[in-house]
Amino acid sequence: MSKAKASKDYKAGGAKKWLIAIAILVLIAIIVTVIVILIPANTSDAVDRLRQSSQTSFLENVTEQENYNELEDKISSSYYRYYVEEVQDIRDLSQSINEMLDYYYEFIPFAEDNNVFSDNYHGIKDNLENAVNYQQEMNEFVSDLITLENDADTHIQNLWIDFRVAYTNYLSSMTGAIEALNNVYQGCFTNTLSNNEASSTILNTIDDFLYVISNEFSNLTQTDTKGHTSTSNYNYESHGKILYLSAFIDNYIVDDSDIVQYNFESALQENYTLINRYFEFYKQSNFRNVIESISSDSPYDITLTYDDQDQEGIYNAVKAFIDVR
Amino acid sequence: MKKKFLFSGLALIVALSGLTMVACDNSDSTTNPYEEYQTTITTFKESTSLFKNGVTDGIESDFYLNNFNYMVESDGVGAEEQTFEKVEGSRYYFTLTAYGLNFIEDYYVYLSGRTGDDYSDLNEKIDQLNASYTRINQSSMDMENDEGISDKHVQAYNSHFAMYEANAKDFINDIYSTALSLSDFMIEQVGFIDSLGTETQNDLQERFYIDSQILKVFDDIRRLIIVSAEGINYQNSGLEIFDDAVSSLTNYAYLSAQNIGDLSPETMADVMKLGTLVEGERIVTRQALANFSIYDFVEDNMQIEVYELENQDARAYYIQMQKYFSNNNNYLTLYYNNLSQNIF
Repeated sequence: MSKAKASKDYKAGGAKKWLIAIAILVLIAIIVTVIVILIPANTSDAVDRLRQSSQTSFLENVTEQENYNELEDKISSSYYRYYVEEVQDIRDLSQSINEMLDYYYEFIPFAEDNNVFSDNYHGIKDNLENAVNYQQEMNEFVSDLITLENDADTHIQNLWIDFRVAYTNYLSSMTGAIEALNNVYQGCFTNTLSNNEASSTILNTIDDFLYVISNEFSNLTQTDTKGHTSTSNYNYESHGKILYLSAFIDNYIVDDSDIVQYNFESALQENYTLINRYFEFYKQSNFRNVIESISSDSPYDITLTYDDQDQEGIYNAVKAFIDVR
Repeated sequence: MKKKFLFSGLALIVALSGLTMVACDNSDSTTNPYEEYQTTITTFKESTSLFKNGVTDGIESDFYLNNFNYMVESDGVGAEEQTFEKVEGSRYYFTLTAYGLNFIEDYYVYLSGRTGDDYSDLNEKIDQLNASYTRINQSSMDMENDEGISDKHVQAYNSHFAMYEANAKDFINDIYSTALSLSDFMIEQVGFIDSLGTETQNDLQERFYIDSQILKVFDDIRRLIIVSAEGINYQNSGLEIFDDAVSSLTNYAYLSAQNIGDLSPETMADVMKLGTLVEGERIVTRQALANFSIYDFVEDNMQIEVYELENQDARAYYIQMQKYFSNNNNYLTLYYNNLSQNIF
């Protein structure tokens, strides 16, 4: 009789132990989740990462510039010299990106460490770190191309296409980082002179430019394939957009008069109010369709038109704002 | 049993420590400092060794620093023996002192008759001001005592001036600490400008608001040229940001002496809205000033790349300071232009 009783007690104790073990595991999972959510991101890491990136991003240093110049020379003397415009545009686009990183670096050390910063912490840090890895790949392809022993054009094309893939990934990462930096700029400088309707319009437009251009490079990597000697697969359309972006950044970021003087000049306030009427009037949330319509042929005009009763001149104000070449 | 005694002992120590801290808290929160402010201002005015009536950058004041000069060799052509002449110390000392003390003199009177407020900060600041006054007053008397022997004892005279100048910096720092505390009190506890921007606003409120805005600008400049640049000889610094900040000080000083125009509530509301944005930018700039040593920058021959090796965000701090004080269309200049066009 006592043996049977002991056997029954043993089975009940085993189930209880499993329940306790599962409960402990669930509790640990809950605690870890709460800790991860509640512990704030170390946003100073993002500042450190941005500082480094603003100093070391693609074509910031002289060695990279010299190597890239050599790459351009090699391509321009090959069968694939029709890539040269793209090569030059990537140089200009990289400079535009570097100028944006410099601009944001001037502000981010002062950003209020609030939820907006925390929410965009990974967008900044992870994207900039990914960009570093892609930059390393790009530099390897550049080095391989300029040190090619066999200068067969197909080898040049192959390496350029590999470089383009890496650059497209780099561009995508930088676009993500810059968008996150824009969010921090707009969300972490409450009631300052530097954060105003002009700055938000300008910085959002730059995000739009990068988004459109990044997409076009992505499309190009999927269509321009190795081993094709005709240009039928090569639909490079971004030259005009990169020209516009470069001029836009020179006009509104390098020379930041509009941002600095916005709160002191009623004419500027009126102009940006008019420009921002575009979103409500044309039911748009950004300027991407305007930017996408920039022609790929000289003189690279904005081709988007509206059949409307725009008596206020809203769209003309937008075009004048975007096209500052 | 032992453990119980130990815990009881610890609890007693903690309780006693807390009581001691409370007891040692010197800030007097309940005594209206009106009379102390009155005594302070009266004492200052009666100190003829330290102050005299004068005009500095358009500001008339009874608090014009006296004997604030040093000796330099005269350029006497063909002179057989050395001669020396007195040169006044940098003008910004006079202007900062005069404006800050004028502000305190004008507005402490509104403390009269008030009860029930928290006066702890005001009391603490006026005590500090009086302490630094004692030191600077002694310095000015030392300068007076040097009169008559300065031609032969220039080194002693100038060493006294160095002490006078050092004490003047501390004094100015305490003037602005006191004046800003008074300004905050007027706004937050007295509600002095609550009706600005409405139909019931009055001239006194308008004047106070503008005076307090200019006070803050003067304080910004003080933080740059006196605090951040501690140890730098302004005249020999070669720093453009210095020159621009001192120019702004002069401009705002002349502006402060003008009469305010007839302002509508809408205009006043716009001015206050802009003032809020300037304050936001000021907070950012103060972070930059707190993290950037002009002294170290000058020691590095004003090469930002060198200074960055020891202060990795120096570039960002310096750019912000330039935006606020020094660039073409710097924020202080833009704000000055806006005030002079819309207010005066």
